[in-house]
Order: sequence, then structure tokens, then C-alpha cells
Amino acid sequence: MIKKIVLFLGVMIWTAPFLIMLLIAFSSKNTNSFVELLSDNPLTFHNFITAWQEAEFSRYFINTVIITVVSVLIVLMVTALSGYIMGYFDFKGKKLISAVMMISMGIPTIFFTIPVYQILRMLNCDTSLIGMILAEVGGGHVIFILLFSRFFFSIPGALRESALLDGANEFEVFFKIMFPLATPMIGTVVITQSIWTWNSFLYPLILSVNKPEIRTLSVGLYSFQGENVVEWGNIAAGACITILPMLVLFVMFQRSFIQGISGAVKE
Amino acid sequence: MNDKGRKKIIVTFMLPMLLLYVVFQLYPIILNIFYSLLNWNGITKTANFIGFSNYREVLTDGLFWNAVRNSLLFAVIGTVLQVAISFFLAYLVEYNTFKHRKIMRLIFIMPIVATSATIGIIMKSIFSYDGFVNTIFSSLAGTKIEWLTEPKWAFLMILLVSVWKETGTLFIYWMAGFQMIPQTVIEASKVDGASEGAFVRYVLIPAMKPMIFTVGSIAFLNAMKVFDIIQTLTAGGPYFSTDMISTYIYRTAFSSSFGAPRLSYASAAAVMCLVFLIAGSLLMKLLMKRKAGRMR
Repeated sequence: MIKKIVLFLGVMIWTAPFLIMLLIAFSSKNTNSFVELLSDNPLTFHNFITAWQEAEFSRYFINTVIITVVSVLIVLMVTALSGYIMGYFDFKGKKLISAVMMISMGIPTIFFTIPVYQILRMLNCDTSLIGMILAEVGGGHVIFILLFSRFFFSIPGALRESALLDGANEFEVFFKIMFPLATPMIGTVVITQSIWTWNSFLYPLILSVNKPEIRTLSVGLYSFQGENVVEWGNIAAGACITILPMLVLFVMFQRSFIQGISGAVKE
Repeated sequence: MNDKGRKKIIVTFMLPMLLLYVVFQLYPIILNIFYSLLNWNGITKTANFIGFSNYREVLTDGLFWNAVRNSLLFAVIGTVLQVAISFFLAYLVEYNTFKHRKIMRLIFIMPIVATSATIGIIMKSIFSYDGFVNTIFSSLAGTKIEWLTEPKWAFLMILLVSVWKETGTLFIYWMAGFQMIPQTVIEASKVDGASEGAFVRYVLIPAMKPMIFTVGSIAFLNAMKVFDIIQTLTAGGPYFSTDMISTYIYRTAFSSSFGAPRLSYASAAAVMCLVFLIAGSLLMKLLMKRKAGRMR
């Protein structure tokens, strides 16, 4: 019985923020005051329309989609290719590469922000979506490389050899045989990286400081909240717009996502 | 067999990863050290080499030490709270036969999906003066509290919000961990008629010990990196009471709200913190080795 009460309280606490967000977003009373929100109060879509059109959340949405899709594709390719080599082949320097990668996993992003910002300036893309994509793609992604390499490690070496004997070249072996075999891993990487990129905050914040047009949803929401402290209705609507796509993606592909996250501790 | 093809594919397939890695992970480390020896604000074309004076200044900067202290405090207390609470919740959901277990799982994992920046802003509304928490609190206690603008409460609030947020990730870790316990062990303890308390204490926690350690380390490292929820919830305020290493570096390097940005100075602070981090983890490793040695 006590366990039930505790769990019920837990569920309440973990759902309340989402419910309150919805309540404010759909309320016509543009307020944060809970008493006022509960008083007679017609539901409205008005906040969403304002956020989407006037507060430019439509633009932020498109930016975020572009950054997410492109980054995910690049990360997927880069990690699948290197994971395949790391798991399936033996070569000089392999141990060194994996050791360096493991160490860099613990370094906080903030340490890289200053030099990476300057590198992007040198490459002349510090104020464009390309810069944001590069910053996003430039991380280590060690977990995904591990995921792929462990998967390819489990595939018998004879598979590649017989394909090579049949006249396929190395590229065909990977793209026609190995890569399709890795479909479950691909799903995991795509879902996990999508959610991470979508939610990324630090780099987008730094790179869009002087260029509001390239803000992402999370930065757009943050800046909007900073500039319009009292517009709680629109802020909450913007928060819903930010969260909803990933929530849908998550509910649809829970299993892949959970697998991706738990991969980090199974080592 | 086809050795040339083999070599070619290893090089071509590794190249994209290595290129990104060198440009965006290794080169930045060198660059950061280089910047830290200049007096550069990040904007001008020229800068002077000033040796270690940035480091000297960082080491005597009260705000820097304040940020280090807050980060450590946040990481230590935060890790303990996050690990304990999420473990407890995961245990309740996974080891009981309640209805709607799948939905409950989903609910506790959901915070992962929500952008930390968004969480920060929603929580700001919930803990604001007229917000949800104060509405309930004032009906019980009769007064309202400035949860986010009073230093002593603000720190507690970021801890609680971090517990809420991190439970999403940790819950998945525990689920994975529970699955790794051999079914026979659980059944054996049931056959032996172990009470629930005995089961948790003598079966579950010992079986999960390596996992608890791993999850704890990951949670600690993540807590040391925290930026999004702090920046959106309090931005390090009030009066720097929730200022972390990350917000300190961010503010010094990029934000001009406290005068001109000081990029070189922030670089020195970042390098300093990296040194602390490396020293800390080496120390941890040493202690672990000793402990493992003694056990044997």
C-alpha cells in the first residue's frame, strides 16, 4: 500500500510539469499564476498561433529540423564506417585510437566551445546552419562507434571473405551486406542522435548570439523567454512545440532509444 | 588475400571519423591551451602573449573558486540524490506487479526527451512566485517563498530539477541492470522465502553493485558538465549561488553582460578545470586500485 502511494506521488511529480505546461499553453489567460489558470478559463489555440507566427517558432522549427536531419545522417555514416572497421578489422593503431576516444568521452563540452567557435570562424561558418551542424557532428560519438563495432565484431569474418571471392569489392561488402545487417543499430543511432541534436543547447546558443535567424527551438525558446518574461502563454506554447516532435518519436521508437541509452552502461 | 583492398578500405572508412576527431576534439585542446596564454578577447585581430598571468588571475578569482565549489557540491549531492531516487523508483516499477507498468516506465523516462532548456523554463514557471508550487505551499503554510531568487533555495531547486531530469536516463540504466541479474538468483531468493527488505539488501543491491558504481560515475560526470538547466533556470544567480564551472566559462567567454568578453581568460579557466578533472579521475583510479588490491 505504501509502495502504491509512493509510486503514485512519483508519477504525479514526473507528469506535473508537462501537464502544467499544457495548461498554460492552452489557457487564454497568458499567465503563470496557478490560481488564475484554474479559474473560469476557456481553452484556446491562440498561444500556439502567436508563437508559431509572430514569435518565429516556425523558423526555429525549420532550422532545428534541418540541423537534426543533416547531423544525424552524417553521424550515422561516420560512426557506422568507423565502427565497422574497429569491430571487423585488425590494424596498427587500433588500440591507440580507442584509448584516446575513451579518454575524451569524459571531457565536458564547455571545454571545447571556445576553440570550436574560433575554428568555425576560421572556416567562415560561425554564423550559419553549417557551423551548427559541424559543431554537432564534431563531438566524439564514442558510444555509437562502440555500438557498431560490437555489432560488427559479432559477425563472422567468413561472410566478407566469401563475398570477396564472389567478386564483390570491399565497398560493396559494406554497403550491400554489412550495413543492411546493422539495421537495429542504425535505428538506435538515428533515434538517439535525433533526440540529442534536437535538444542541443550550448553550441546553438553560442553560434546564434548575433544571428537570431539561425536559432534552434531550444535557443529560440530561451531567448523569447528572456525578452518577454510575462508572455507565459506563448512561452508554454513554444515549449510544447519544442517537445512534441521528440515525444512522438520517442513513444514510437522507445525500444531503439532505450537500447541506445543503455548501451552506455553495458560496457 | 586482397591486402591492398583491405588497407584501402580501412583508411577510407576511418578517415571521416579521424578527420572530425582531430579538427573538433584534439586540435581544440591545443588551441585552448594556446589561447589561455594570450590576452585576447576573441574579437580583435591581434593579441599579445602574456604567459601564465591568466592562470595566476584565475587562481585568485573568488568567482572561479565559487563556481568550482558549486560544481563539486552540485555533482556530489546531485549524484547521490539522482542515483538513490531513480533506483528506488525503478525498483518499485520493475519489481512489483502493478497495473500500467509500461506507462509508468514511459513517464519516468520521458524527461530525457524534453529539452533541458525547455525543462528549465517550465520549472521556472512552476517555481515562480505565483506558480504551481507556491500555490500549494501557501495553502499549506500560509506564506510564499521566492524559490529561485533566494540563494539558499535556488541551489536546492536546481538539485531537485536535476533529479527530475536525470531520472529519465538513469531509469533506463537500472532497467538494463535489472535485466542482467540472472533469473535463477531471483527465483532462488523467492524459494528461500526472503522478505522484500532482505531481497533488496542481500540480493538486489549486491548483484547491482558494479552497475551502481558505473551509473554513479556517469551521473557524476554528467553533473560536472551541467549547463542547460542552470543557464535557463537561474543563469548562475542569484548572487552566483548556482554558478557552475560551465556557466562561469560561458559568461566569461561569450556573454558581454559583465563588460567585454574575455576569451583568453575563460580558456585559462577551462584548462584549469580540465587539469582538475584529470587529476580527480587519476586519484579515483588509484584509490580503486588500492581498494581492489586490499580485497584480494
